[in-house]
Amino acid sequence: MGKRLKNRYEVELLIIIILIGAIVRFTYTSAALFKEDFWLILIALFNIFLFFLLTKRLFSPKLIALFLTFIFSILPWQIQLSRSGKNQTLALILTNIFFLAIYSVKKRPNFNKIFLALILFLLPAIFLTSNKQEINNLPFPPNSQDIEKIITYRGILTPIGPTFSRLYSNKATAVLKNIKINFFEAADINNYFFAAHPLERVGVRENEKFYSGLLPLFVIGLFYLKFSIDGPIILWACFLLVLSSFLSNRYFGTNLLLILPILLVIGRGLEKIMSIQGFQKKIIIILPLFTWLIIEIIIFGLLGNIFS
Amino acid sequence: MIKKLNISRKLTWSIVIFVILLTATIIRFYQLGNPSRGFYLDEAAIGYNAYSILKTGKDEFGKSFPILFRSFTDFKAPLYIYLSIIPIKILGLTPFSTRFLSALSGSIAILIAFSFVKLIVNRNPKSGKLPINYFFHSLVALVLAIAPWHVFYSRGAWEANLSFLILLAASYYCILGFERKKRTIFLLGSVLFVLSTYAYHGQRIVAPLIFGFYLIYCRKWLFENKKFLVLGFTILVLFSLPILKISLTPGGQSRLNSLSIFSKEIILPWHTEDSRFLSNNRYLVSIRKGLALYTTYFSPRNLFSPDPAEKQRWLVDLSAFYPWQFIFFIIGIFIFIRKKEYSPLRNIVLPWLFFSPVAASVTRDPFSTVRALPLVFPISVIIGIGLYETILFVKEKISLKFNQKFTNASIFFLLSSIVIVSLVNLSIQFLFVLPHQRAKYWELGYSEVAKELLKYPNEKIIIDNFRGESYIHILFFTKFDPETYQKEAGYLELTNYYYSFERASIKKFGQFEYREIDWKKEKAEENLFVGDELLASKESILSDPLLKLIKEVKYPDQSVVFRIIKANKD
Repeated sequence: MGKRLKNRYEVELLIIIILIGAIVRFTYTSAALFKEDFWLILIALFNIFLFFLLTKRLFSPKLIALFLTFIFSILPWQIQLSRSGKNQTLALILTNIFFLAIYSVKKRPNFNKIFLALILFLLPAIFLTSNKQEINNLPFPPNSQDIEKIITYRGILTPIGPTFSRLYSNKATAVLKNIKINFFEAADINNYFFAAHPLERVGVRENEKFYSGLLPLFVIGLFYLKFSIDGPIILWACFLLVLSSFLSNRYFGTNLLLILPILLVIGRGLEKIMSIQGFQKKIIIILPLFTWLIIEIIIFGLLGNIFS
Repeated sequence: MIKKLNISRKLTWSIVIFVILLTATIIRFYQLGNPSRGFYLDEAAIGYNAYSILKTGKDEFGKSFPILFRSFTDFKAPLYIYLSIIPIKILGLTPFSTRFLSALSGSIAILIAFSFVKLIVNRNPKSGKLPINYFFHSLVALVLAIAPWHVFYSRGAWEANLSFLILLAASYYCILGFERKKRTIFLLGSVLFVLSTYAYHGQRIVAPLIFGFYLIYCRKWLFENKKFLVLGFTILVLFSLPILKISLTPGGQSRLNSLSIFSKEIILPWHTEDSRFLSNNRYLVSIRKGLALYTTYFSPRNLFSPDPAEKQRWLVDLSAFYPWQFIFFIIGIFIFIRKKEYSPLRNIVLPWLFFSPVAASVTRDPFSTVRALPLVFPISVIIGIGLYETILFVKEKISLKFNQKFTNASIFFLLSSIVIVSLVNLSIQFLFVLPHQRAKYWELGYSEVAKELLKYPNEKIIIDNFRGESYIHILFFTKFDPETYQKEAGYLELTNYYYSFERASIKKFGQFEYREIDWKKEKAEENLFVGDELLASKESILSDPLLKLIKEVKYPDQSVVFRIIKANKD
């Protein structure tokens, strides 16, 4: 490993980042949880190191890799999970290994290896995020509320005719609607960068998952993704969105596996800004973003309750 | 030969545009005035105040030609009310005549949007490389014509819809003036920008932002003639003065103070009791939440998935756009941002995209479709681009295997099928589901109550004031004489019109009294009274020999909304 970290400053900064990650995790873990989750925190810290290896492979200059690793180490979503969710922490580390495996074979495409990585890491990761106790909350078959709605709609549409009302409102349309709602909830960028509005989703405790200062970088990154390099990220995100449509995120939280793709897109955005010619132009874009990001990390993150 | 072909091509596309406009008009006007589909409080206030101005030159409070209409101390923007005088004069005071202006604005907006997009993409000779033609313009017009978001606000008396049309026309004339180098046309556009602020409060923020951007965009040309610049500026200031002056009064600021997340007067939905100094600092949190609210207007969930948060201002099972349009939105946005050929469109449409939700995002509500209505235009353009580029791509791929006629016919069939299914869904939602599921929010029943009460011209009628400002519905549906109302129910000194927030909960006009029901008094005076289902159960009324149940007004789901009761001494 040491051979890979050629530059000394990289090693030093990485150690500092992991230390910050450790401090944040230990600070925001209650005494009762501390003993039980100690090994989980260690795994989460190891995951920071793995994430650095992945980003180092994907981004140039390497400062972007360090920046992303730093964000990863103090990401509200990650911290919330690494404190309380055993399965989720393991799922995240498996996803990290999956991406590392994919990008290591990408130089010499070998479909057997990709398939193996998929079986070994990706599937267990998805399985780990699913909570078997909540299996009743799948969008199919239609639940009692759906059935009630179908009956109401049939009553409303009686004047048009029974065949039409059966076509317009039935079990299949109810399932489709549930899938649609799940899909758009998972694809809602706003839910990731800001806690959703308290009046929007009844009964859901809304938490910030990423810092909102990263949103502009994410948007820029989206427009500058290259399929040749970022293909696995794009495919993974698309696959997860489809999967999330079938598993309600309010219960299963499969969308947490989007942490990595979202961070990698953010990295792509930062890379694009760094590639702009002229120091002044870069500063004009980066300075307000980073100022807001620092305010968020310190005030809302460390002093506030963003990690709760 | 080529000329003939061009003429026939133009004729074909003229027919297509005509069909789109006709469709847009039909879906906006069909069953527009049917009161059994609900008539909201604000609509009744708009209609009655226009009627009052028409008959007396004064609003319901007796104020002559106000700049803002006090109404329920929400100080409504005046333009919609003043313009509604015309349809009300011609068609009489009905829900149809009150909503007419909005439906008409919605239909005209499609034509303006078509012309605007045509103007922008045709103006740059570089865009000649892109085979943008009538097909593209028609697609944008079609997307806007069938967009549930735009149809919804065209089918109610919404000031926001009129202001959207004016904003669109303002942008069109500004760019047209700039293109043709005709300053008077540009000035007309500028005046329309100011006028849009008289149509809807939110435009006091959005219009200056878009107009400011266009001024910067056309700055070189504008600065060529400084005399015109001074003249134009003077005219704009003169037009703006009344609204600027009134904006300084408490009434002019009431919307801002009651809705803005930066206002100290409101309770924020996310504010906690935690007293930590910085992390819960009201302004810092508000800035962050303002950013969150701003981004919600671009969220696919809000644009393509039904929004359960807004019951009154939304359809039950439809979103701002159709879910099938999501894929074209994604394709469209990538092409819109990245493809060079769209740069002329980008320069003009991007300010619409970025500035439209600004006013809405400083209010505390999640995804307010009414306040961000101008956003419907740029999103329609983006979906139009996505559709257009996808069709071009598919055509290119298919035409390798099949002949062109077959390809065109297949695409036409597919697109028409999707549009027809979408329109059927939209109609079902509007005509059947909305009145049934949102009856309470759309205040069904008042027209029926008024119709019944008109049968008793000599009775003293008491209306329970439990349901807020329902007096306005009675005024509207009974077409109560405005002059009599101003004399008998007036409680406000007109000098306080823009300054006081006082509201009378008890009103007396003609045979009507609007107050709390007092059982003893009603029985003693043998009054006829109206209350909702909470007033008394049907059984208790029927078992009381001193009471007679005259009528029960019901929602479509058969639950009781009003009971009309007559008290007798004997």
